[in-house]
Amino acid sequence: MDFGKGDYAALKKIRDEHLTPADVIKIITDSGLRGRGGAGFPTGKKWSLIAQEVSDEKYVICNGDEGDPGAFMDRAIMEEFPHTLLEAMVIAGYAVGARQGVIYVRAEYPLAVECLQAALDQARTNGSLGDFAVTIRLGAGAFVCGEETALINSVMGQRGEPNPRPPYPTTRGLYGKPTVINNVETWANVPNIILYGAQHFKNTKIFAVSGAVQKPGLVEVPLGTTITHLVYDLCGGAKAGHTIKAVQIGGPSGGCIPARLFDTPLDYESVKAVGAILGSGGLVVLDETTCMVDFAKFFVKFSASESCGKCTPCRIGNQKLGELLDKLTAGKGTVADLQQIEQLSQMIIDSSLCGLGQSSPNPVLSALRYFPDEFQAHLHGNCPAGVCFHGYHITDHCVGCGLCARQCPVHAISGAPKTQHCIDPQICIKCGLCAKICPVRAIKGGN
Amino acid sequence: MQITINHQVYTFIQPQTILAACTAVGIAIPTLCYEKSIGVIASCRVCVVEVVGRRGLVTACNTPIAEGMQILTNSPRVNQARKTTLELLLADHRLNCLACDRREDCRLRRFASQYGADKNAFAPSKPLPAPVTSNHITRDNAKCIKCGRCVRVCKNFQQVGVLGTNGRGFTGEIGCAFGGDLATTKCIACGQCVANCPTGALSETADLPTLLQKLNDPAVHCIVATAPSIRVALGEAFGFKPGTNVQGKMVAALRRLGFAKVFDLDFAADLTIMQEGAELLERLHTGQNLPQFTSCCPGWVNYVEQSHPELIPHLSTAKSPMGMFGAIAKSYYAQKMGLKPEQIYLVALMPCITKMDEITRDDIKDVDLVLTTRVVIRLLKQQGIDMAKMPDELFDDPLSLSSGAGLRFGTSGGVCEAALRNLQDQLPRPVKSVVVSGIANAEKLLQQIKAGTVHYDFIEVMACPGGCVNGGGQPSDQSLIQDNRGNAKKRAATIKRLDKYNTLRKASDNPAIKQLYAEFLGDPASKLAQQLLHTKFCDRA
Repeated sequence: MDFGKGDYAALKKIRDEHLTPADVIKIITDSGLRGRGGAGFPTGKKWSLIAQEVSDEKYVICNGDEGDPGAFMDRAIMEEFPHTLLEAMVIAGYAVGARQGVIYVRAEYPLAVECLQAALDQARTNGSLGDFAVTIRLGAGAFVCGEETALINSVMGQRGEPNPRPPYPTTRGLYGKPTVINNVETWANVPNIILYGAQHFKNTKIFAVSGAVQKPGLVEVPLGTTITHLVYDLCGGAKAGHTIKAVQIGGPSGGCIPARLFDTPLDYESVKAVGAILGSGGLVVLDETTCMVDFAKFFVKFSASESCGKCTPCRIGNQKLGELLDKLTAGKGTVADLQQIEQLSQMIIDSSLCGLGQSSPNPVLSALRYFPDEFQAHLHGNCPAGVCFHGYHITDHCVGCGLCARQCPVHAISGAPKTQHCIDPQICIKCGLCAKICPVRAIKGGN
Repeated sequence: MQITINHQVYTFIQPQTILAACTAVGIAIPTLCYEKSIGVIASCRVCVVEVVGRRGLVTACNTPIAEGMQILTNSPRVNQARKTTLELLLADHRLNCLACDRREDCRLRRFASQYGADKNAFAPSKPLPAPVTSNHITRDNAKCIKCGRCVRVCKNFQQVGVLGTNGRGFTGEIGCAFGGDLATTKCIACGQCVANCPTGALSETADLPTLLQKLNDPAVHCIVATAPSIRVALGEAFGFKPGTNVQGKMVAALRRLGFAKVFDLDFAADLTIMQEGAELLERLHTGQNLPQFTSCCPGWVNYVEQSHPELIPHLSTAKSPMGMFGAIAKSYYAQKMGLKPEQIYLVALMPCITKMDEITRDDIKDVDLVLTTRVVIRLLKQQGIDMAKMPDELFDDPLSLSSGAGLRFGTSGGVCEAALRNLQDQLPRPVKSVVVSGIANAEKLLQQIKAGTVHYDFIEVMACPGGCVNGGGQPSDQSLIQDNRGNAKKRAATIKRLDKYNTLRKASDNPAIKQLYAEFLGDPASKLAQQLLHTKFCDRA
C-alpha cells in the first residue's frame, strides 16, 4: 500500500528549529484550531491543560469513531493520510509529555484500519515515531463510543458508557491519567500548522455533503463560507425539477437550517445561533420530497437505538420521543402530543448525562422551530411532502415476476411466483424502489 | 465560599457537592442512584438542579459548589425535569406497589409521590419481563431503574462482578452475562445488591406462609434465634435512631408473633469461639494449615469454595454460630424439653441472605428457615406489632446467655477479638492476626499473602463491608443522602459499647457454655462436639 512514506517534515522542523513543547502549543493556540469533532474546544488550550498536569504517564488518543449518518470525512483522512495522523500524535505527545498513543477506529472502516496499520508498520520500520508508541484499537459498533469518556472506557476494555464530567480526560483520562483526545480531522491539521506557521492556517473544515444536490461529496472550505456558496456554487444546487428547502447539519446531534437562512456562515457560533451545530461536518441537503417530521424521527430513533442506556432521560426519553413522533407520522397525533414532544425534548437536553443525550432532540426542536406548519399539517392527517401515511400497494396489474420482492431492502414484499405480490406496511420504509423498478408499473402509492 | 441556594446566601468552608450543601441547609434533593459509599454514578438524573449561567441542568450528586454559585432547586424547570424523569421511569414499571416487598422503603415510590409523577404520562413501550429467582434473590427487571448500584457493589465491594448490562439503550437489562442464571455464576449470594437496590427490583425470597402456618400449629414447637446485629438494626424501621439497641423490645415482639422461645444466637457465637479457638490452638502447636481463616461468614465460605478452593484446608472447620445453634437446638435442647427434633421448627433471624443458602448445606439443615431483618420488619408490620410500644423482655434460657465477645460477632473484627480474648492466656506464642471485610479487600489480602509480602496466623473475613451490621439482609438507610455504611457504623458502635459494659468478658467464662459442655458435649475435642459442631467444605471451582 502506498500513501507516500510520510516525510514527517513538521517533526523534522521541531527538531531542527529546537522548538520547545511550549512553542508547539503556542503555535497551535495561535492558529485558532478548534476541535473538529463537534464541540469546537480550542485545541491549543486542551493541550496546554494536559501539559500542566504532573503525571508519570500521559496518553494521546485519536478519535476515529466517526458514526454520524452521512459523515465520512475522517474515513477519507484515515485512508489517505494515515502518516499525517501519526505525525500529529507524535507532535502532541512531545508537546504534552506523553509517550503512548491510541488510535480508536470503528471496525466498520476495514480499509481505514488496514491503511493505518500499514502506515504504522512503515513508520515503525523507518523509526519516524521515535520512542512514541502507537496502538490501534477497534470499536465494537457503538455510536456513543465517539463520546470521549465512553471511548476511553471502551479502550480500557470496559463497557462503552460515558462517565460524568468533571473529571475531564485532561485530568483523568485513559487508565486514570491525563489524556489528549482529539478527532481525526483536528489531528490532520496539526502537522501543516507546525510546518507553515499559525498565520498561514486557513481554518478549513471538511463537509460531507449528501442528499438532494447534484454533486454530493467531501468539500473542504474555510470556516465562514455561507451555506449558499457550499450548496449551490460548489455542490451544484438542487437536482433537476426540485427545490431545496433545508440542510441538516451535525448529524443526529445537529439541526436543520431552512433555505431562507442559507446566508448563515458555516462557523461554530453562527450555526449554533440558528439552532444547529457544526458537529463533525455531516451536511444533508433536503428538498421538498423530505418530510421534516419523518426526518426528525429518523434521527431521534437513531439516537434512541444508539443510547448506551446509562441515564434515564436519554434511555427512556428518546424512546418515548420516537414513539410520539410515530404517532404523528401515523396521523394519530394530537395537540397534546406536540406539546409533550417539545417539553420532553427540552427535558432530555437539560438532564442527560453526555453529549449524545444532551443533543439528541436537536433535530426535532429545530424542525419544530423552522417547519411548524409541517407538524401542524400532520395533526390534520396531511403530510405536505407526501411521505407519511401514503404507503405503497401492489395493484392487480402485478404479473408476479418477483423483482420487487428480491430488490426490497427490508424484505417487506412477499408472494408466490406468477401471483399478485403484497407489501407489509409494517415493514415497508417507503423508499419507493419497488415502484421504480416494477416492469409493469403495478406498484402505486407514495407521492 | 459563598453561594446562594434559592436566593438565600450561605457560606461553606469545606469543598462539597451541591447535594451535600443543600442537605446541610435543610433543602431536600431527591436521589435514586446516589449512595454515599457506592459513590457517584449520576445515571438517574433526578437530583438535577439549576445553576444560573449553566446551559443545562446539573446533577447535584457530583457537581462541586464554587464561589458565587447561584443554585435553584425548586424552579419550574427543575420540578418539571424531575417529574418527567420519574414519569419516564414509571412508564414501563410494574406498578404493583401495594404488593411489592419494598413498599414504603422504595425510593422511586417516595419521590414519584412527592412530585406527583403520573404513571400514564407516557404509553408503555414493551411487555414487562417476568421476575426471576436464583440464589434466593428475586430480580424483577420490570421494577429496575437501571441505576447501576447493584452492578457497582458486586464489582467494587465484592469483586465478584457477576452483574452487568446486557444489550444497550432502552432494551438493555441488568443481569448476568448473556442473561445467564445467577446460580451458575460465581455469585456468593451476599445480598449486597439487594440491600443497595433503591426500588423493589431486587428482593430476597421469604416463605412467610409456611412460617405463619407453623406458628399457628400447636403440634410444632416454634423457636427463633436472633443474630448479634439484628438488635441494633431492627429499630430503624420503627422510628428508632440508627444504632439503637432494641433487644428487649425485639424479644417481646417475636413472642407476640407466636414463637414459643426466643433465643440469642450470641450464645452460639460463644460456642463457635470455644471450638474454633481449640482448633486454632492445635494448628498453632502443629504449625499445619496456617493461617487459619474464620468460616462464620457463608459468603466468604462460598467465595473460597468457588474461587480459591486451594484455601479450603485453611478454613476453620467449626460451623457458623447459626449452624451450631441448629445442631444444639435439635439435640441438647430437644432432649431437655423432651421433644423430638422434628417437632421443633427453628427460625434464624439473620442480617444476611447467604444464610438462606447456608441452610441448604447438608449438615446445616437443622435450621428450618432463615429470615432477614428486612423480612422480619415486613412481617411485624403486617401482623400489626408496633416495636415502639413493646415492653423490654428477656431472652429464654438455656440457649441465650452470652459474653460480650459473642455479641461482637455482629461487626467486622468481632470474631477475631472474641477468639483472641478467649485464648489470651493459652497462646504458645504471639499470634499475628488481621481482619478484613468486603470480598474485594479480602482478595487484596490474599494476593499479598500469596506474594509473601505479609504473614498472618489468624484471619477473620466477613463478606459484607463492615461485617454483619451492614449485611445483605439489613434495612437500607431512609435518609435523603443515603448512607448505608454510615448506619452500619452506628450499629457497630452500639455493639462495641454493649460489649464494653458486659461483665461476662469471654466465651469460656459463660456459665451456659460451661453447663453445655458439662452436661452434654464433654470438651471441644470430644467425638460428639466434633460431630455436631464441625463441618466440611468442598471444591466448587
